[in-house]
Amino acid sequence: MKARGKRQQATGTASRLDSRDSRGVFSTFDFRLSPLGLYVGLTIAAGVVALWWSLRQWGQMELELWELVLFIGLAGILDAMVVPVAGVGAMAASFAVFFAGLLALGGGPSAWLAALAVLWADGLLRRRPLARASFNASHSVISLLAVGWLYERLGGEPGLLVLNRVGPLLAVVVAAAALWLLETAWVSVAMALEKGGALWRRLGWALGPGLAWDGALASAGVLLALLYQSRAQLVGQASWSGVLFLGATVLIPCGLLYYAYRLQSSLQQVYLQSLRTLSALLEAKVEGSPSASSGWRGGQPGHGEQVAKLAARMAERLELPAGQVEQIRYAGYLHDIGKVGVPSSLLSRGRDHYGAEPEAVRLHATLGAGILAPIRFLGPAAEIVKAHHERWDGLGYPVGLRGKQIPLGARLLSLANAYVGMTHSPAQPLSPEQALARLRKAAGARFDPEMASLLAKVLQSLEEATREEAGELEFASN
Amino acid sequence: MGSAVSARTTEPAKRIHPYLLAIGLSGWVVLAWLVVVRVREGVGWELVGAAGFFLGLSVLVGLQPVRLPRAGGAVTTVGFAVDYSCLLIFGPAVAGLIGLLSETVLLWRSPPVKKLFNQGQVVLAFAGAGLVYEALGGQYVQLMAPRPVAFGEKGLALAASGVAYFTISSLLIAVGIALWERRPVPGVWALSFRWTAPRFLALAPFGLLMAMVYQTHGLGLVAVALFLVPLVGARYAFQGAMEMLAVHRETVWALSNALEAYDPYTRNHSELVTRYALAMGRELELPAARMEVLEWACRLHDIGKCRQDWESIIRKPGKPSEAEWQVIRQHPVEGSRLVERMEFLPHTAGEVARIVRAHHERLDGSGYPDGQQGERICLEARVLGVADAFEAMTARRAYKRRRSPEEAIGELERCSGSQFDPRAVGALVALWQRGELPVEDSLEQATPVGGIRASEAAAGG
Repeated sequence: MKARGKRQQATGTASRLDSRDSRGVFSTFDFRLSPLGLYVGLTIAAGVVALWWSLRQWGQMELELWELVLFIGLAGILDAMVVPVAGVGAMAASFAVFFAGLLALGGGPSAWLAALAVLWADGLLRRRPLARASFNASHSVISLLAVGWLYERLGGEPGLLVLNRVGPLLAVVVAAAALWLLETAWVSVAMALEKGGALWRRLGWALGPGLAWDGALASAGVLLALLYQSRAQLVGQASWSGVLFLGATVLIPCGLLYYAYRLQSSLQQVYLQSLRTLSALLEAKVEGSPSASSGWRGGQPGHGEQVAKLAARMAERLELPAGQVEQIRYAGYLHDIGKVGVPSSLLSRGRDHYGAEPEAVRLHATLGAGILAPIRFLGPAAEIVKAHHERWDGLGYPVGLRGKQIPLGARLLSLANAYVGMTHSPAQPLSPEQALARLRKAAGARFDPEMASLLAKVLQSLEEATREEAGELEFASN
Repeated sequence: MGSAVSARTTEPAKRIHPYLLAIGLSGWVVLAWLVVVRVREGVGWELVGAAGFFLGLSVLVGLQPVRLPRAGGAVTTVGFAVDYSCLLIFGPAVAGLIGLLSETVLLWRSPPVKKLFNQGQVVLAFAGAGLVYEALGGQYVQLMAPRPVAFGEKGLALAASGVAYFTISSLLIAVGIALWERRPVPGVWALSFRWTAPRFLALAPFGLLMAMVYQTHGLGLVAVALFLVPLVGARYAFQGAMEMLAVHRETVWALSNALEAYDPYTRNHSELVTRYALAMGRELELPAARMEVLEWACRLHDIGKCRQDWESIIRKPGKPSEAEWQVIRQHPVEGSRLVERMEFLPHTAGEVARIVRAHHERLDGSGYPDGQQGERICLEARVLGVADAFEAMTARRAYKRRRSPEEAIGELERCSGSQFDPRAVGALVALWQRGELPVEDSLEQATPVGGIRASEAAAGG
């Protein structure tokens, strides 16, 4: 199915780099001399050195086999519980076990556990490329070692968790916050290097949703550490039930959390899918494009879908907040919904010689906004739809807004709409270069000039991406 | 105490006050008896402190319930996890007391009768669950007990007591709703509670863990409080999911309505068909899940007609050509394909698509697109077919004469058994005779355009 096969757009993650994106440094060992490649390479090297160094602490630890299996197994399972976050990427649940390991065993051993667990889960269970799995393992190793050191400086003692005194409790809280910040920052830097844009903004996106998620996981981790401390009591009687109990203390809360987050994000996907269907339906109805359901099977995405994608790409490039990007995407899908109110005889007449549309057709912007506005959730999209035929010089419709009075989303949408319309016109499609040249000419009159040059940049990077992909495919088939 | 599911939103009717009072009072009596019989030893500051702590947790968790979509205003909380751990730790007497106090706090501003009912309902659920638990050999975590309870050996008792709690609590509420709305209890229970049962019972392991952590030496209450963070986090995510579900429904329905609304020939058609079919479904006592599927199918049944040339085909004078018939007969297929692409709810998109595909089938096999017969056409599709035909006949359309509802029903009865399902027709007739059929003009104004015949119009939709 197309929706499934669609390439994941967001690449980075709050605590994990998780792109299924097949290009970029993370896919192969091909470390070009890019800042990103350098960053990833250095991280992995530092992780390896840190692991070797922490072996010295390992000697003092007495860890039985079942304990090792328990920690690595749990971390691996939780590492595979990944929740996508709009605009940021994904968050894994393994944070709970890493933090438990830090509190119960100390920085060094927990770093080893994390390395093994991430390599196992990312590399073997989820079949992520080795470079990415190594990067994820390495940043966890470094963060755990650093925070382990900090925790001991603050008076915390691995394996002796005390929660009913202020000092030790504070040490636990500070350690959790530090681990969360470090992990997030580490990945955000990679994201910023790969996708461009300000680091602090990436960090801000990742920290927001991560706070609730990682906070809940950290408390599950503290629980596991607490129970692990009293393992003699638990495992003493019947070892298997003790191990099960330890596992359940972290799996049940994390599983519940994962289930609820996953449900939420999968429903968001379902929502988008329904909008795509409805937008194709709309095209079948008002534009007489081949019947909606057969049009898909041809694999050709409809006008609305292309406009939505392009406008959302531009919004992402501008680093708008994830919610706003989504609204622009929705508006892209539904921007012509108002045409259901325009008689089809008028619609098929098209533009006159000067490119002007009949008055009745012009109504569609207002009508569309009227349809969308009452729908909860689509309020901002309705405003964008209303203004998507406004012009930079104020000669557009329905209101005649000019310049920056026009909502940003609508300025993006009108560019995307025009570009897709020109390159996919059934009568005489223009080549991308021709279309872009025309848009450039109209910049300042019809379009926002800044956004017009942004469109050019976005198209260029899209083209590069497809070229690279094609190259890789060729390589793979050889 | 987060009586995990309770209709807290509206003022109960006077009619059911005796029932509410009876449950409330018997709850108080049972609690008094339990306290007198059970709570003799071990009452000290320790117990009061621990019980107070759990009372606080229970109130905290119950403060912000998640509203379930279309379960008669029912709400759910993650409070069952806390309730269950209270039962396992303190036994029914103290747990009942905690539950009663928690309900009192949570329902502070509700009418007294409602408060009383919820208090009683919680106590009775605790008492029943405790009885089941003890009968199967369960033990409670006692304060300062010499030996911890080996919960690992009490699997059956644990599971049975969780089920008992849910069953008692949900049944007491379902009986209340049933009395209020004058509907059968099993139907109400199925509509509001059956589908929440797995989600509800999934919280039981959570409660068990809390009890186990509580009894683990040296951990105590702080560790129990740690459970609260993931629980509350899950609650917020769950609420987000429920909102998303509601928004999704709203969006798809509003947009599919918009797609047909501006066509004067189909305006409100789906809306009315949905109204008729749902009334018929209730008459036939379809379970909630099938009603949901039926509603989606009704709202989207004509979505396959979204093509530019549809109007010109259907309005063309005279008989449609072979190619045009092909298009007409294809619309249920197109519609079902579109519905499949929407995958709105896990598992239901396929069923909705099946109904949409079959809504022009006839019992005797003369329908389209597959020519299915009799029982092979699913019941929802047969209901939808009757509602669709009834609306098509009674609607004022430009190209045909509008029939009165009586005429339309006569026509349906004439074709009942050959074209239409007798049960579905019977349901519609029963509704009409009781005056409960929400008939309405689907078109205010009509301008006569020349004439396709009525039978074909009905066949085409």
